[in-house]
Amino acid sequence: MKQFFSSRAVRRFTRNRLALVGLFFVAAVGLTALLADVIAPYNPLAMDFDALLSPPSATHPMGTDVLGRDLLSRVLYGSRYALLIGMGVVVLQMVLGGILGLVAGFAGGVVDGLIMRAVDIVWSIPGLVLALALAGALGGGIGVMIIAIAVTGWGQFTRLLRGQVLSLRELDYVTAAYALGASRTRILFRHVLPNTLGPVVVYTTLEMPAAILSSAALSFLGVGAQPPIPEWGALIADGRGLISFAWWVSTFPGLAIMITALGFNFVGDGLRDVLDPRFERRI
Amino acid sequence: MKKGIVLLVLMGLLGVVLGATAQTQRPMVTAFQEEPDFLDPHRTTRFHSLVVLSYVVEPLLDMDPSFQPVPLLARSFEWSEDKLTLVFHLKQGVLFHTGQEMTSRDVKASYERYFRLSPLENYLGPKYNGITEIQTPDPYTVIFKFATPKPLALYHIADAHASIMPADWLATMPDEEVGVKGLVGTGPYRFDRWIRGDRIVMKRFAAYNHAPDYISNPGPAHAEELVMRIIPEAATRLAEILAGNIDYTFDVPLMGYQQLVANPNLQVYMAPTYSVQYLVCNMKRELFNDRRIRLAIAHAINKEEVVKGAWFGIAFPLYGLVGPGTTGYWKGVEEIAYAYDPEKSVAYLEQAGWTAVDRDGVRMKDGKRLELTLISFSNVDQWRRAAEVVQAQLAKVGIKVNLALAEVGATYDRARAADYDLGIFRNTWWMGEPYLTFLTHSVNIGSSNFGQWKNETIDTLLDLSSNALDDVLRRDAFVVAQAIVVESAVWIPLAVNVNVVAARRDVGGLDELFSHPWQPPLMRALVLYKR
Repeated sequence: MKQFFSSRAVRRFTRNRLALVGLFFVAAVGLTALLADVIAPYNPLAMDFDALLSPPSATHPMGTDVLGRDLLSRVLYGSRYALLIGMGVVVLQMVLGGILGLVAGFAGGVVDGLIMRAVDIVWSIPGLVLALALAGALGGGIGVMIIAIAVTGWGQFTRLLRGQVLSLRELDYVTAAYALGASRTRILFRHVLPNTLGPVVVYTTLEMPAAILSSAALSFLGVGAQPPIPEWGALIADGRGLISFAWWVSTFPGLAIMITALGFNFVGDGLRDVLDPRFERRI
Repeated sequence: MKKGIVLLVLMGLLGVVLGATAQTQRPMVTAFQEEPDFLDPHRTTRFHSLVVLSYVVEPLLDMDPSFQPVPLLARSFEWSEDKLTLVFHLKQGVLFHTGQEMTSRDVKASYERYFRLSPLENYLGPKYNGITEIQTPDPYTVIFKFATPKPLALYHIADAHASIMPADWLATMPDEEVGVKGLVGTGPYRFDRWIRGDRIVMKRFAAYNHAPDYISNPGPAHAEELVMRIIPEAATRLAEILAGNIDYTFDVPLMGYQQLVANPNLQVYMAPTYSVQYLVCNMKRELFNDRRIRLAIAHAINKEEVVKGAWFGIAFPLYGLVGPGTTGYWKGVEEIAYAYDPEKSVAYLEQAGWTAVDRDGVRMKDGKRLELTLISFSNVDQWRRAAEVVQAQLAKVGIKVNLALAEVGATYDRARAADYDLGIFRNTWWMGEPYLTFLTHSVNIGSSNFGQWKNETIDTLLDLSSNALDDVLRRDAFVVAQAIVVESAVWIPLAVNVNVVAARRDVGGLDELFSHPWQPPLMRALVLYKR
C-alpha cells in the first residue's frame, strides 16, 4: 500500500491528465452527495402541478419532471444513491469474493477447486440477467439491488485475490515466515493480504462505475429503486417515454451517470498505471 | 397518335384500378398497449383480451348507445310473465367462421361452458339461482329457465364474456387451448394468427351480415385484414402513431397528446370511459378499523392533482366508485364525496391519537410511526405516477407511504393475499350493478374486493340492486349502495379515464364510432374504414 502514497507514485498519478480529470469528477460527485441538502435549490420530492415538464430555465436549470419536481435537485440528490450503491456493491463483493479468493489461493487442492467452480458457475450466467431475476424475486429496492448486483460480481474479486495469493505465497519472505514458525492464519493476514491490496484498490475503482451502471439498468427496468427515490436509473426510466418532447428528463441523469462512470474509470486507469510498471513508459 | 392516346388512357385506367385494389388490400393496423392473456371469452378477465376477442365472437345480445339490450345473434326474445322463462329466437343463416350455421345447440354448449369456467360469472348461472336449465326445442329457439327472477339478465347476456362458439368445435378443443391455438365465432373478423409479443392478425369474414341496427354497416367489415400490433412501450407506440404506421389506436400515450393533436396527419377523438381508478384501504389491517384514519386519508387526497400529475390532465376526478360512463351512475356522489381538506385530515389523525410527529414529519402513536405500504402496477406510467402523487399528498399530513410497485400479475397476487395497506387499482365495466358487486360485495373478498371488507348493508343493497323485480327498488338500492361505499372511505375514488383515439386522416367512420358512449369493438370492426 505504501507505494500508493509515495511521492513518486503521486507524481506519476498527477502527471496523468485523464486521471486528474477523473479525480475531479469523482470529487465533484462526492461533494455533491455530501452537500446535496445545501446546494439543491428545491426539495427533490416537492411536486409543482403548475410546472409539469417545464424545459430548462433560470428557475429550473435542468427543467422539471413529469410531476413538476426540479430535476437539478433530483440529480444532485441522486448522487448519494449512486455512491451508496456503488460502494455498497463493491464492499460486499470485496468481502465475499476477497475472502473466498484468499482461502482458495492459500488452501489450494479441493477447496480451491470447489471455490473456482462456483465462480465459473456464477460467471456462466449473464450478470444483468441474474441480477434482474434476483432483484425481481426479492422485491426490488436499494438494499435488494445492492445484494443482487454484488451476488453477480464477486467472482472477479475471488479470481484476483486467488491469483495474487498464488504468486505471493511462493515468495521468499513467506517461506521465511514459515521457517520462523508463523501460523498460516498469521501469514495470510499479516504478510499476504496487505500485499494484495494494490490491485484490489485499482479493481475497486473500476468496479464502482460498473456497479453504478448496473444499478441504473435495474432501476430503468423497474426492479431497482422504488419511487420517489431520485436514483439516476429510475430518473432515466421516468423520461424514456418523453424523450421526443421532454428530452431533459432523461438526458441530465444520463449525463450524471456518464460523468461519474468516466471519473471512476479514469481514476482506476491512473492508479493501475501507477502500480503496473509495464505502463510506466507511457506516462 | 390516336393509338398513343388510347394506350395512355388504358394505362391510366389500369393504374387507377391497381391503386384502388392495393388500397382495399392494405390491412387496417391498430395498436395495443397490453398483450391479451388468451382469447377465450369464457375464461379471460382481462380488458384487452375482451376487446380483441370481441372482433371474433359475439353474444346473443348487444348494447345500443342508450344502454338498451338489442338483438345480435338473437332475432328476438320474450320473457314469461313470472320472469322465470326467457325465450330467444335466433337469427337464421348466421354462420360461424367454419362455415357451419349457428344454432341453439351451439348456444347451449357455450352457456354451459361459460357457467363452468368463467371467473366473472356471478349472476346468471345455476350457482346464483339463475339459469338452471337450457332447452333447445328447435335449431332456432333457446329457452332459459331461471330458478329465481334475474332482472339484469339481458345485460349479462349482452356481455361478450357470454359469447357463442360452435358446439362441435368446442367439443374437440381442450378448455385451455380455446383462444390460444384458435378461436371460432360469428364475428366480423376471423382469427388468423397470433405472433406472441408482436401482433395478432385477423381476416375479414365475408359472410358477416347481421350487425345490430344501430350500426350503419350490417357487414362485412370494410378492411380485408386487421393487424393488431402489441406495443407495450409508450414511446414506441407514440413514435409509430406519429410516423403513420398505425391506422388507429385507443391506447394513446397521454404524454404525447399535445403532439398528436398538433400533427396535421392525425385526427384525435376523446370521450369519457367507464374505466375508473381508485385508492383502497385494506380493512384486514387493524389500523383501518378506526374510521378516522380512513377519513384522514380521504381528505388528504387532492384528486385534481392526481389527474394532472398521473394523467396529464386528460381524465376527470372521480367521486364514486361507479363512474359517469357506467349504467346506474348516481350523480349525488359528487355532493357526498370527501373533499380535499388537509386540515380536516390532520384533525382526524389527532383525534385518533396520532399526535406526535417525528423528525421526518411522520406521525407517531405509542412509539409507532404511521407508515403504510401502497401497492400498484409498475408497468403502467399513469398508475405509477398516481401512486407517487398519493404518496406525496399523504406525506403532507404525516402519513409515510412506502411504494411497492410491481408488474400486474405480482401486484394482483399480493392483493389477493391481502398483503398491503393501501392499493391503487383500475376497473372497467359499463354495467354498474355487477361492477360494484365485483368490487365491494363480501363474496368477492379474496378476489376483487380489495377493501377486504364485509359490510352486510352493502351486500344486501347490492343483492337487491341486482335481483329485485321492482325497478324503483332496484335503482334506489343501487344509489344507496353507491353512497355507503363512498361514505365508508374504504374505497377512495381517484379518476375516471378518457378514451383517446388517434387515427390517421385517411381513416373514416370515427364520427359514427363516437356516437356510441363506449365505442364497442363490434362497431370498431364494422364502421372504421380507410379512404
